[in-house]
Amino acid sequence: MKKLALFIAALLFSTFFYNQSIGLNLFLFSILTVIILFINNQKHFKNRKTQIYTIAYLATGLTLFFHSSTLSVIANFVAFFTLIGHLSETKSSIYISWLNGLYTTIAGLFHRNFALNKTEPKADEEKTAIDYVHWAKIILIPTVIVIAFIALYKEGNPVFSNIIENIDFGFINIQWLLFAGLGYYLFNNIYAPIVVEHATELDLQTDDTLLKTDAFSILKLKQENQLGVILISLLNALIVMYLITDITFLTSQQAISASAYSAQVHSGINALIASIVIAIMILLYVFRGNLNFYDQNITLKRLAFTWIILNILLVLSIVFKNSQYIYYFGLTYKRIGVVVYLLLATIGLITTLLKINSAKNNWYLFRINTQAVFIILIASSTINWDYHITNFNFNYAQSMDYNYVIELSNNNTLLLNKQLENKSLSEGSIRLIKSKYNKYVYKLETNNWQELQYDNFKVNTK
Amino acid sequence: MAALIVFAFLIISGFTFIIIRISVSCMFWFSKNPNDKMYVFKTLFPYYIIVLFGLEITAIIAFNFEILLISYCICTYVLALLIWNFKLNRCKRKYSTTETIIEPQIPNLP
Repeated sequence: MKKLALFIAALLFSTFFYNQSIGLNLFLFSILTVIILFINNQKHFKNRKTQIYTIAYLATGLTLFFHSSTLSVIANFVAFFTLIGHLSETKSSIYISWLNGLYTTIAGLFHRNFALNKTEPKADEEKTAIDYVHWAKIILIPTVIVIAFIALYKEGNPVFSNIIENIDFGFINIQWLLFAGLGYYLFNNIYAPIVVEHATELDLQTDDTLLKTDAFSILKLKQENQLGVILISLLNALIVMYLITDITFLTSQQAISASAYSAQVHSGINALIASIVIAIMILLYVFRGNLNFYDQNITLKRLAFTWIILNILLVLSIVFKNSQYIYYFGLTYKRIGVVVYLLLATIGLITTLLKINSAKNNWYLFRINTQAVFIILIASSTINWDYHITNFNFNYAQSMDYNYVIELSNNNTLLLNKQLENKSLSEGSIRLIKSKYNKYVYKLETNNWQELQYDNFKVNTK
Repeated sequence: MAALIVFAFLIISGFTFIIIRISVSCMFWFSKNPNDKMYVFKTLFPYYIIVLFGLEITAIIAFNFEILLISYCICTYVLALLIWNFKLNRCKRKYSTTETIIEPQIPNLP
């Protein structure tokens, strides 16, 4: 049953992907993978977390049907590795799931063969040993003799000769079969996920809670506490001053020219992004050990919390600057990237606050933040960014770069074509949009069923 | 021309074989327990194969999915697995370890 399922999956794999571009096929492959995994790991699928990862994986696959982008493909692969890695060990952290998922996908079959060869009793060996010479004899000798007799009979009977000559094996495609072999290897690897033992064991043994070490010295901690209080107080004062000047700048910016504003935002955002990373690193250093268990650390903790909250205010000020910049000059991937980075930085700051408050170690921070990155990756992959960038720039932005929008992927082509009717575009832009639209429609019309996209239905209904 | 292609093929495949053979041996040389094959397999093989796969995928993407390079990478990957299989199942070689046995200075204490 299992072998048959893998064999059918391999044939479907080749049917989906051989000589095809990305479209409906990746979603169908996602469903197929989930079915194969479900057949062999039914118990694990009762776990709530496994169900969530399965939904995330299928969602990224479905996303590729609606809009094919590099981000969606990356998200689909990451979700694939996460699901497989999670099935190999449901209690491990997400980054260990990625490692296990990747390892299973690459070398699951090899690992199982070698590990089982060494651990299973030798009683099975006779049962599983294959007599290759016997099989070669069974296949080769009759084949050669049958071919020889066909050649002889062909000479003796013209009707038989005619039938033999009409047999055409041209439909057999060696590359297609090799691709199916690759699919068989892939499904054989993943059907029973494996773990990278040392890394997984280490992860399972590593707790989130920070423990008091033997080197607990009140005198040393007092000194460290004093240093921390002075350092973070000064940094608090500095950030308050900065925020006041920043608010002053934001309220009096009418006098600044667009180019000066652009330069200020570019250099300012980079510096502020670096400052937030350094802030988290300083807090991690100060609260790295026994200072968390020192009775007199309340002032230091309050100062740290204040600094984190002020850093969040700093993030908000950058968000404000970035959104103003987007309003005046349009939406671009870089500007969206800044927003995503700021979101991640805010999550980093909040988790640092939680870490300090409940005396957790750095592994806790790493685990939570990698999960946050995964969630943001999956969520952002479901958004058709090219469409939204184009829509925003045409309808809401004060000014925009037409060439930038035209050079985006095909996900905005239908929307661009609509804009031809509404906007007074230059001759050059109109020509470029029409050319892009015609090429895209041609591509959609020549798509096979495996490459189908949502836009196919949109174009066909027109 | 055909001779040149065959010569280039032999050179490339020989060079690839040597590189992979040495890299697999390095895993055993630098392992804590080189004679415990299961230990080497479980501790180092996963990272070895992941790094090899990562390098191959990077090269394939960098060269825009060139079919010749994809074929070469698949061959290299299979070759690496075969060499690992040989080292784990058939190779009888024993490695000398650098651990020195520290004998007690006064062995016959009452």
